Amino acid sequence: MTKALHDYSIAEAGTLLRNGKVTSVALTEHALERIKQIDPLISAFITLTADSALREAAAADADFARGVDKGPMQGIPHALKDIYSTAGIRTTCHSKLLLDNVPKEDCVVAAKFKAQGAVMLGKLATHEFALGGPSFDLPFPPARNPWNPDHMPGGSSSGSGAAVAAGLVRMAMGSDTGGSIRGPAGYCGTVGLKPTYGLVSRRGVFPLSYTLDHCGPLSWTVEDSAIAMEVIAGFDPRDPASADVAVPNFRSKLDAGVRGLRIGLPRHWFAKAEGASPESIRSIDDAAQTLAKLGATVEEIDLPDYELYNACGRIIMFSEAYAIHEKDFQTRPLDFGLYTYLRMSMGAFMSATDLTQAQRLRRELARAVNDKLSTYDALITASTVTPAPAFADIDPNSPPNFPVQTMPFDVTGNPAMSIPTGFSASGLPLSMQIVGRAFDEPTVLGIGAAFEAATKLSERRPTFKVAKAA
Amino acid sequence: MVLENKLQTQAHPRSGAPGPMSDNPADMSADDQALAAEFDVLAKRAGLAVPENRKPAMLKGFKDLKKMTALMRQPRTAADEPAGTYVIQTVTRSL
Repeated sequence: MTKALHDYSIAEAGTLLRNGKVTSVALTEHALERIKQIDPLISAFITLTADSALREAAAADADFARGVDKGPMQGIPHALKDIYSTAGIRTTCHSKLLLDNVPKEDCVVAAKFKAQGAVMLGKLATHEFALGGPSFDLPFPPARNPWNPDHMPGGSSSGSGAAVAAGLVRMAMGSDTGGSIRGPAGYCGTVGLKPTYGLVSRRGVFPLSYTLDHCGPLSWTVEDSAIAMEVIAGFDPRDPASADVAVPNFRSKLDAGVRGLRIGLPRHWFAKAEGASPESIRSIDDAAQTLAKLGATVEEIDLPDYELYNACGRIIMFSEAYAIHEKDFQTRPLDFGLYTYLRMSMGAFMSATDLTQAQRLRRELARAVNDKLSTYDALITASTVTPAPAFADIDPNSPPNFPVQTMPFDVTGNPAMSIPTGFSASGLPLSMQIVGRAFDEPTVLGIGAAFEAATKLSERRPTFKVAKAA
Repeated sequence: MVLENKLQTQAHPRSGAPGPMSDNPADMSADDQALAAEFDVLAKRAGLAVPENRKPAMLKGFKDLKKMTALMRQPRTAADEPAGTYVIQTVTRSL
């Protein structure tokens, strides 16, 4: 092997598995050893399923030996945010309220990975019910940023971002309702894809907000996410939001480059945003220059104010989330973490008319973005607007506001992918997001792949002061 | 179509100066007292018994929420329907 096993992409590892150069058991043992050494520093995992992972790896190896090939994720280790139901494995949503919850059935995503013979290493830390965190009053510690554990990894897919960045898994599943895939991806320096709303079944994933929830991957490279999407995308008639559309070929444009593409840049959103760091702004401007040098035409565009998208999404999210948890708020409110309580309870304080007005605005805002995408192939804009904040900066009595600008594309449902753009002076990742037309993930992934190849940022990994990291 | 961002220019109709809210009526402006009273009514209607030590943070969140809901009131006509208008096919497709 020319590099450490965790540095092989999913496609590369798949080739090695099929050539007999490596076994799934070896990949899994390597991952488990890294988790043993590194996870105590970053608390990415809530539940480690080492025994079943090794059984799954052995089964994958046996299938390869018999010439059975189930797909690109066969034998590949991965992990799931702990809101994804897994049969026989506790699914806690990082909450006291579900500490003993052991589902009888896999969610659709878990079942699809299992059917391919992928290896599930365990369940990952999240903000409580994908909303309340990071906090220290929950049954499990919050995940930490592998680049600097004194800093947050973002959320709510906090464990997913941390695990991928630390090289514990190549790909982990997250969910995104207001930015919970792209925020951690941005703060942890990984790729994070929020697919088009309805492209990936949400059935069996604990909901935060029915009309805003998206399931998607965080991964080390763009291709890794494209491969994950091949496995998980597809119509599910039992998910009320599932889109009955042909599944795109996610890898079809990974080598296409960006020459001739027109890319819009709503720079006014982040350039003057309160609290946006000059480093973050500069990194996005530099990214636009890079794409232009690669042959794209990048032009500044105007969209409705960012705050309209943010407010619209938050009203819908709080209303739907509170409806789900209403009974527990009335009967056992102190079993929620403080931040979950403070955030989610706002759903109790708005009227039906407030929600209806938000939904009316939602249609207008979605049309505004998609009107631009009728003349531009994609947009780029900020994902995170600062490097990852420090835990020390959290007010213990007030939930932190993460400096991100991710909510607009939960509101509109367009595919949006966070991708690293560089590093701050303090060594923390910076990011942007690439946004596409509905169901045009191939173009989003293609632009990301071209940028990734040009910048080679994925060659840099966090380092850990451990006795011996596998 | 011009969507209006009133966030910067339109304070809550009954809010006082921006800033953290105390839950001590003696420290509150008249507008903040009215907001706190509205909060108490809505909490009671929702069946929420808000612990006193959480009330200042909740009031701050409620004040921010009022600003956000005000933003949703855009000039529009009756023909401007919400996103997610009811479609019977999607409701019945799993039957």
